[in-house]
Amino acid sequence: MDVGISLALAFAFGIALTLNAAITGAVSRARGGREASLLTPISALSVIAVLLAWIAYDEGSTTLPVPFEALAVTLVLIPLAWLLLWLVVRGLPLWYGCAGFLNGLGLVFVPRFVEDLGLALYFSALTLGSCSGALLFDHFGLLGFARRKASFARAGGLALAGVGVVLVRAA
Amino acid sequence: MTAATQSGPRQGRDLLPMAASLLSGLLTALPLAMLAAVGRERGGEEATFLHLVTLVAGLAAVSAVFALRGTRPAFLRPLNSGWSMVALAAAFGVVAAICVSGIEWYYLSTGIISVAIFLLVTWSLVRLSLGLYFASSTLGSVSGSLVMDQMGAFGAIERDISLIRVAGALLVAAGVVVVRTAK
Repeated sequence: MDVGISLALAFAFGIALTLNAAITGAVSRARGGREASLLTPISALSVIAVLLAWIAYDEGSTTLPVPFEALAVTLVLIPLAWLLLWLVVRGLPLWYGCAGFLNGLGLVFVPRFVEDLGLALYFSALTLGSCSGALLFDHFGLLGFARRKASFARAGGLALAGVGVVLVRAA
Repeated sequence: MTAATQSGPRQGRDLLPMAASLLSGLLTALPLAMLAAVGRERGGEEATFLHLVTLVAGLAAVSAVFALRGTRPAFLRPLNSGWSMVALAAAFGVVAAICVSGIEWYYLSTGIISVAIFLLVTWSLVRLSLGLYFASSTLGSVSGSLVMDQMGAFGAIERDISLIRVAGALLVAAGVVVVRTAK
């Protein structure tokens, strides 16, 4: 994959981290930190189960060991993963279940990002994305965030992080 | 009492949580480097599956320990008991053990390290100001990733640490602190 595309995707997944943090924070306030921490990986797993079934259907099998390489098993994993996700979010707004969807997709791309960008540049771009997301969510008061206008100081901090990413990339 | 003598113990109290936060950041690069290595062998989806399965097993085990010590999980039935968390941890642990066959056993630790990171973050976050927390954790994660790049950890392409890269990483960390703490 092109380095520019990888950088843009890492930045976008960084923004998605803000959405994840918002939902995790809401679940943490409603239920507690340990309960909230289980939501993201189970939510991500629901998406990965679908992707694995798609791979097994498309390519004949996954590269996982027996029995998880078989299409039949991956098809069984989908309802199990979604049932578990439902059990975890039951009693909360059901859309909280999407907390880890984008994180799961982001993790799928990690091997590609590490190959194209290296860990340092990947982390830097991801961090820049999450800072941008935080600024956006705060400024517009999205998803119940307390509205907090983007100040020059905070925009300056974002610019500083942006220059940092450019330096890590340039080197 | 002068401000200087007041700030001494405060700074001393902050040292351990700051070290924990720095360590959590340093560790962050490790599971991702492992995930990338598994991904090169098996594919991104399969690597992510292994990572998530071990992570859920570890987090459920932590919840089970807390539940068996008296703090029940705040889920609705049937996940509201310690034994449900034990069952969850065991089921995911078995799946993880199956999935790691054919690759190095230590790749099982991707999720376990993430559990350790979670515990370090939750412990340090309530003991530090937001500025110190973001400064130490971001500094840890960018430093850890620079070192991993230098080593070419787990078969990744080696990328030398240069002064410019270090300066860039420091700027990223500084930017995070400003964005998260400035008025």
